[in-house]
Amino acid sequence: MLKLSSKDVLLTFMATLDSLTKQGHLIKIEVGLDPEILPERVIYALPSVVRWLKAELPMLVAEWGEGSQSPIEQVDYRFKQFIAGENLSSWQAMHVMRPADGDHHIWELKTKDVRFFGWFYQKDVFVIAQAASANLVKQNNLYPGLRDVCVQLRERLDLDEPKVVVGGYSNVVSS
Amino acid sequence: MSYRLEISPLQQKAGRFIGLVRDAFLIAILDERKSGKRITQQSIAKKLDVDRAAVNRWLSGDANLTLRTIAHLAYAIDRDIVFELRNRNPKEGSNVVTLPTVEKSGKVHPRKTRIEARPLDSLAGVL
Repeated sequence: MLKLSSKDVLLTFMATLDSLTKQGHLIKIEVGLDPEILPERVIYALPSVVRWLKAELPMLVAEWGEGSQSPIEQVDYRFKQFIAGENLSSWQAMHVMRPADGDHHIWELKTKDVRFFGWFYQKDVFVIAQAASANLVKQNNLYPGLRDVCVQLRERLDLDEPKVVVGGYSNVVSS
Repeated sequence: MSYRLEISPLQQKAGRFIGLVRDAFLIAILDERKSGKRITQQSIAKKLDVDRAAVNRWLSGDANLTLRTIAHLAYAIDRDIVFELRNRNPKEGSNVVTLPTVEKSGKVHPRKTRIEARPLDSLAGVL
């Protein structure tokens, strides 16, 4: 019987992500990091999210106007923090969606004006399935709907099982 | 296939600096609380003689932090401000060395530390 080491399992996971990326079902998100900073986490997004990043995000205006971070600056900063492995354990940065003890395991990665929803395919690998302005989500109470859409999209995506990491902050990220 | 956010270097510089400053306050306040000090938005507001809502806006990112506001907040939480403009492209053999630092978790983190030895007269016109 063929024995698989943890490294083999990890490579299998990565092969799935790689093949989905090559097929265009997932897109890896990159940010500029200072030369001395090595990426410690990875973000993938569905093509619809990348379309939103390209078309909608630059049009958003900060709720509190000039001087504070613009929405695209907020997103760059949050993505940079995530990928660089910085601590994002505060409710203002990232948290599992309510009900926290549900079986959806959908996380919200957030900034002041922007919301991202997705799941951890493996530790330190976040897949964003939905994106929207915070105003839109809050004013229309879209949280339950977006959470359920993320679950449906995860089910449809041809990822190897298990498709999602369960648990709290320390289960989904290393640092 | 990958995607890099379409943000100009200027926007990126501004956004990351604003985020860094605001996070520095949040981290400092958390550290003070961990060390037993009862720092709240209310206590900061009282010390600065402003509304608690104003402190909330500064710390949550709802309002612009001016240099004066930064100084006031630092005063309120009894912290010194360290400001440095680093050369992004130090020349080979210059007085910048890279020293790894070990965090509490044991994680080794490379960090640039500047060691400068300039004659005093080179500061003429700067100070």
